Amino acid sequence: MPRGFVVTKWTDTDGLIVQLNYPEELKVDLDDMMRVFYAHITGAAEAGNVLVRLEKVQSNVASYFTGMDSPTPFMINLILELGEDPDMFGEAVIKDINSSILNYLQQLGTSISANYEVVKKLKQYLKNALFLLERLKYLTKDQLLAQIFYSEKGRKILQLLRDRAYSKKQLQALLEEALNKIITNLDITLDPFVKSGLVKQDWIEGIAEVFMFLVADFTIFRSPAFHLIENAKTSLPNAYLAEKYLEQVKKFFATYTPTEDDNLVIAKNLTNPDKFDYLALFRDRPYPLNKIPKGTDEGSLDVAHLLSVMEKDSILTIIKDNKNVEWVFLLTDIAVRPFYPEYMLENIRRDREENTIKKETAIKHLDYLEKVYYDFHEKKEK
Amino acid sequence: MKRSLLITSIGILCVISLLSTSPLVSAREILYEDVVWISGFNDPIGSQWSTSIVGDESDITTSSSSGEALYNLLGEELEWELISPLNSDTWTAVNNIAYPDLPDDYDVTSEGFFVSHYWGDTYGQRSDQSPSVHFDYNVSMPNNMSDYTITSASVSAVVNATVHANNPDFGGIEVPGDAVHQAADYDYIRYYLLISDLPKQKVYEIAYNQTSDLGKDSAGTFDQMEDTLITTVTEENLKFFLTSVLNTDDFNFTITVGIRIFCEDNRNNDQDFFDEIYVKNVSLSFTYQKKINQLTTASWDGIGNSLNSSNVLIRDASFEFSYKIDTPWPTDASPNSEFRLFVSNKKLSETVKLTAATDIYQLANPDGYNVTSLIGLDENITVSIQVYIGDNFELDSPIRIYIDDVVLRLTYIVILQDPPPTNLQPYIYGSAGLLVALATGIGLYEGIFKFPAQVRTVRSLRRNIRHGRSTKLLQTKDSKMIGRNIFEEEKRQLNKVSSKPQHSQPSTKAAPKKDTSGYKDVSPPEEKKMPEKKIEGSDKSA
Repeated sequence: MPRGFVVTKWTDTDGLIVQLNYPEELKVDLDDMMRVFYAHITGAAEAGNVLVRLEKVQSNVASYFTGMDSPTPFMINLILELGEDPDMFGEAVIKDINSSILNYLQQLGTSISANYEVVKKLKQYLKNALFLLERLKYLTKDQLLAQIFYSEKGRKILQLLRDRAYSKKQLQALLEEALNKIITNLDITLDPFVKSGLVKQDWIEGIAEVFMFLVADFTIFRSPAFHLIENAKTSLPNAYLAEKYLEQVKKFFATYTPTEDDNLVIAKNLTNPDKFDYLALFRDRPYPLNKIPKGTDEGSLDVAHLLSVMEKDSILTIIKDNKNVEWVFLLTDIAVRPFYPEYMLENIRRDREENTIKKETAIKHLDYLEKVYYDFHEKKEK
Repeated sequence: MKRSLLITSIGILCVISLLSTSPLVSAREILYEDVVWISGFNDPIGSQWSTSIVGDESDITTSSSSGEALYNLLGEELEWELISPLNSDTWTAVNNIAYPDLPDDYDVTSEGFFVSHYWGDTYGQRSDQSPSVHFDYNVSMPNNMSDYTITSASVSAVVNATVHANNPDFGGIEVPGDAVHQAADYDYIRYYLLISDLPKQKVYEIAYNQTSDLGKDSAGTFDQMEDTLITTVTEENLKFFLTSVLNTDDFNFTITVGIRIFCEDNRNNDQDFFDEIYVKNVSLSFTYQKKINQLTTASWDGIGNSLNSSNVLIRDASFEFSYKIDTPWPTDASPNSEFRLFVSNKKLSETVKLTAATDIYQLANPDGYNVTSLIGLDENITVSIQVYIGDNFELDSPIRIYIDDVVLRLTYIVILQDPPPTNLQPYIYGSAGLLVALATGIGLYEGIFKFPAQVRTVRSLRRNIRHGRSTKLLQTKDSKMIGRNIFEEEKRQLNKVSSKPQHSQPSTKAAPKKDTSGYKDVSPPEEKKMPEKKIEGSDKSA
């Protein structure tokens, strides 16, 4: 589990100082923080991310630096256990958290009382962020696929494997070349691929490397909330609301076409565990705004902000009934649909004709494609 | 194929029994009991047996000795130590990119790595206040390190220095406590050891020392730092850094001895003399153990004769073997490694964990494995005893696993028919033709047509590739098209649902099927109307 956050900043007068650490009992060694700072500035001291291993506290640090050119050079350090890597949580989530923390930090000024309130809110945010990161280790299959789609690395790996099978070494080299950055831990990046069943990994006879075989693909798009639509057809929750809801759904889907940008928005919603919980809630039925059930972490989550973001992303919609009570409906559900990658047959055939892959690689891939076909067939029949 | 065999066999039996009940046809059955079909091992082993390895062939091999078959796990522990003559042929002086000015003098001598430097705030403002030099040594490992794990590591070095401290003619180094006009960081020497990959994309500092009071005025004209051990990173971090730099090309990395001097301008006409700076007795060593890779397998495969399904019925088949190990299996490191057994290429559900092996031969199953259902007819009957590595782990010494007394026994019935009288030939040929047609039809169904079209395509492609035949272009949909089709299908469902007539709420007389209690009117009474609620932050970005 991530241990906590340490925010440091560089000052001309005092050098590197600790701005804030959460939890407060988290031990912070300034020497270690200097090492992290050094890792940032040995380049061009621009804004960016580094991953550093700290000797004294025996942990990994995923650190974001705003850059020496920024008005106040902050470093936001996420302290992880030794076996943890930011890729486990998805680079996009870490980026969002850093961005939110920076928003709070930029509100700090000279007023002590105002700063006190900001710091209080920031600590609450950090508490929620740690809880969110812990929950990101336990995602459903749909969420894993959405996480793959939302991550630049994930999309690139999928694009490569849609072409042919690669060994882990080849994949790492291609990925580093394509993204122009070093991949520190490919196994963690590939973990959601294996867990979700998109790829199988195996040896090829005669080659001392593990290969990754794509055996399933997926698509993501907005889909109607069929259960709510069926209920609305029977005038639930009431005739007025049902009619309004059906109108909105019809209007939305009349012009909706999936695009990559929109899919990134819905994938981001799906990978957030809090938003996922509310998605599941509203799939079942709509709720009046003041009657939405609270989660287990009552009081600490900014539900209003969460729902407003989902409304802005057109996942939820607010409809007033004829008594002016606001109801929250699921306007669009998020569908993640795995499918059988039939195009791999032609790719394997073509690669074998051109001698791009070995016979054993082609046969092994076809073996897996035959086996998984029955899984897809069974699920389809169900 | 089993079904076709069974039906064909029943067909044969029906015809045979028909013919046998008539005075025109007869048949005989011969029982063969407990026939040893495959056995091992003799010395030499014999051509009946072969071996195969899948996975990392540097992890495991097979061999035989004195009538025993072996699986050899190639564990080992090796040690690497920096043994490098101290001269400029092996250690190359290069610029420190971050501090490119070189010191006045630097060299690799038999006494160690040497630097000296003078900076003076006179005669036109010399600007070499932060000189630095790196001495690089490129290491090439004898083994591919991607197949090894570093298990221990240590580094050390000794540093010393002599500087001008409080020289009445030429000034000296300024440190906290000395009289200065201005000061921030003062003057110091920083020693450090680095390791990096060859392209220097990953660079790690593994040891350092930075002086803080060397050159204090109270020391006199000169000040000396005696031989001092350099501060090193923890062993865990050193192992991690070594692993990381070797990860780039698996063989090579660079050791760098670095010295950097900082001469701060602390006074008018400041002069800083660093007379002699040494790094010596640099040592780096680490041990590494062989990685044994999960999913690697090694098999001893035995092949026997075939039996004809047209006149043979298998009654019983049993398989057994004995095994032992020369050193205890590392249970904690690899609890999942096991023997896996195959008969006629079909896997037995039972396995034998290697953790159960001892240094004395024991039977894998004292009662023998019942493999009757696995025996394949009309093809060579085979057995395979496979060692399957179930975990990734490190192994510091070889392990030998032995197998012997391998026996596959069959009990079967052979049905012999007496040759029919000549005038029955049309009936015989007719029945045979019918059976052939039946078997062919069933065979075609079992072999081809019972599989869905997509699977038939996969199987056909695989067959062609296996036999090196050319293949035709396959018309398939790409990922985007499939995704689009799935989306269009869901949209069609929406249109279907939308086009269904809307129903009003059920009559209050009928018992409601759905629990609508959650849909009660929750708006407050008119006299206590709540202010309109807005969702805050709805204009904020996500």
